[in-house]
Amino acid sequence: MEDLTPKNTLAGLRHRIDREHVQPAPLSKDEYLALPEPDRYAHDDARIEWFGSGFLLTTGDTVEMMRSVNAYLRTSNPLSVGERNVVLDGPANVGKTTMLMRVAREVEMQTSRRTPDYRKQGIVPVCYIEVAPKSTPKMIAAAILDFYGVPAGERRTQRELVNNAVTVMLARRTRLLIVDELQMLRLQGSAGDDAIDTLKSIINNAGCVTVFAGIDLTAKMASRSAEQIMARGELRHLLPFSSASDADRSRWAGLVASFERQMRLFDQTPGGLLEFADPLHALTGGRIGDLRRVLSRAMSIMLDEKPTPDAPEVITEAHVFGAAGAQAVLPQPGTAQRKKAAEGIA
Amino acid sequence: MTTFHRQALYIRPHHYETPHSYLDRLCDANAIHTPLVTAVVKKRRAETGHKHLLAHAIRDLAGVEPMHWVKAYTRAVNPIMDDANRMLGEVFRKPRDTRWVCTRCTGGQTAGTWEHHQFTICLRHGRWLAPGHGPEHQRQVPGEAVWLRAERAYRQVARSPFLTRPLVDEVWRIVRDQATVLGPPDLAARLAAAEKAQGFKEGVDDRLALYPETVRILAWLARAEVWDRLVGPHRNQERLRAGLRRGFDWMPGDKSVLEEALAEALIRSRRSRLTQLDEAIHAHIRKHGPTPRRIPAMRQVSTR
Repeated sequence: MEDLTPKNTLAGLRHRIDREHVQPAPLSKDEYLALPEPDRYAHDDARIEWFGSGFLLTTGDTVEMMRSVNAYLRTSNPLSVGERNVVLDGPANVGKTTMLMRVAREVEMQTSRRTPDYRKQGIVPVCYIEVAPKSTPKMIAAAILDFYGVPAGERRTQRELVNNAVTVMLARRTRLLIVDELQMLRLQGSAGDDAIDTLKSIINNAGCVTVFAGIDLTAKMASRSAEQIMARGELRHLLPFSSASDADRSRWAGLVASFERQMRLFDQTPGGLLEFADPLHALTGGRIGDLRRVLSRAMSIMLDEKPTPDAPEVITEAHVFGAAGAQAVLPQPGTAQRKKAAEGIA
Repeated sequence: MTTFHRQALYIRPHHYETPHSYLDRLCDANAIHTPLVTAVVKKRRAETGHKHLLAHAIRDLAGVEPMHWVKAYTRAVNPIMDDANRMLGEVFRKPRDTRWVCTRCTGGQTAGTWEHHQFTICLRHGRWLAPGHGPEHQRQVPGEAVWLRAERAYRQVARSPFLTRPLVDEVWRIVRDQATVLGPPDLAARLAAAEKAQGFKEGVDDRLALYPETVRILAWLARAEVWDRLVGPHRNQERLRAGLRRGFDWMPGDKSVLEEALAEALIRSRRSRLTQLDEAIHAHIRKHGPTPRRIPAMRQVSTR
């Protein structure tokens, strides 16, 4: 049984960063059928797990994000003033946290290349915190201390906690602070201002690069303090895949094809899922997390409900969209025209 | 409720280091507010009555197993193991007297150990560890190899079951008191030079100057033959004094007061632990055979 610790602790973050997902063995159908029954089930489980949470696709947004963070880390000096921020804004389930985990992993790997025994030396290059609902300044500082496992204490003053958080970050030589779920902060009003000011003061004193991530931050961050944070860095919008143009649709189709390859099904024709690309876009709203969830479910249903082990492994419309089929999720055609026509007659 | 988690930076406990000292260093290295940890431990100890909760806190923070402290205490202090619960209390109580680890081994940090008599000089760095004094009084021993040889001899002597901590302290005091009237010729001169040197600290520099001779006396007193033939029960005190005269014939000068003081110290030490001495002597006889009627002359511990 794995020791599960939350990702907003050092042990939990490193557990996730270090974990290598095992790819299912590339078997032919004959080899698969020759396996004993328990091994066949184990292979099915491995394929479902790999598809559900194992593989990571590197999208253009991920590459750009990593380039930005790398550039800031390389160019910023901890002793200089003026912080460098990246604000990652986007709706839910578009892969923000997954992207942050990849950034954290990349920065840890860079550190290990330069200082192979950095963990033994107590160097923690990345600090990852999640903002709790309606966080106060003390809660922000305590979240940083909790990440390092440093006891915060309930009766200590805000000043003590903030100083302690800065001291820990400097002692552990932290270069990147990732603040996730920033929308949880009360972004307007004095309480929100205080929390953001505390965060800003910690970042200033620790001299680290910061990545803020949250939902609809540009719309919600209205206070002067929040604007200061937004102004001192770059804003990156992570949006769902669009289907407005042919180019957008072909990007989406490319994503669906990539997901299909990772399913490792024996009888699936390459590109077979592309006929469902538009309905899948309508069903998921172009969100990469939703696409993975829908296809994982379809794959699980198909493998579980195979009548015999040698039955063809193909994802059908019914597996993805249920008995109602793909038409159920598509927008009804002609509704707007009918409305216009009706208005014209009137 | 405050819980403790494994810290990013692990530090190694030093030889015979106490858990309190280790916790201080661990908290310092990981920017932990030490009073917070000690308060939590104190509260838990008050609630449960368990004396070893400090060890649990250290295990959670750094992964050092609780038994490490018990083993280290046993090796350092060599306690009488008749009451395990009481010993546990001693292990995790903040010690009244502390000895300090060589500050060069710790890279300038201060690390406290239990008050022990296992060694007095750090052989790696040649530092006099100034027993009974703070780390700021540690000294570099003189360049001569005689101090390092004396230290090696002392480490063997310290393992003897016949020497107790009060007896060792008493010998230190007697040698210091008598140093000015004793030979060897350079002894008084060495002590006088130490006293004249800038920054002289009583109990530190004078002990360091007299260390080789003190160890030589301790080495003679640590022998099973001495206790069996001279100090054991029903032995003649005159025989003891004659034995002392023979044992210290290498030392010129007026040593009558020294011999008398040592004889009294030995008799006092014997009275306070007759049973233990009997056990130690019998164990020695079982292992090495009966002790000779006449105690052989002491092997020379070179002072040159």
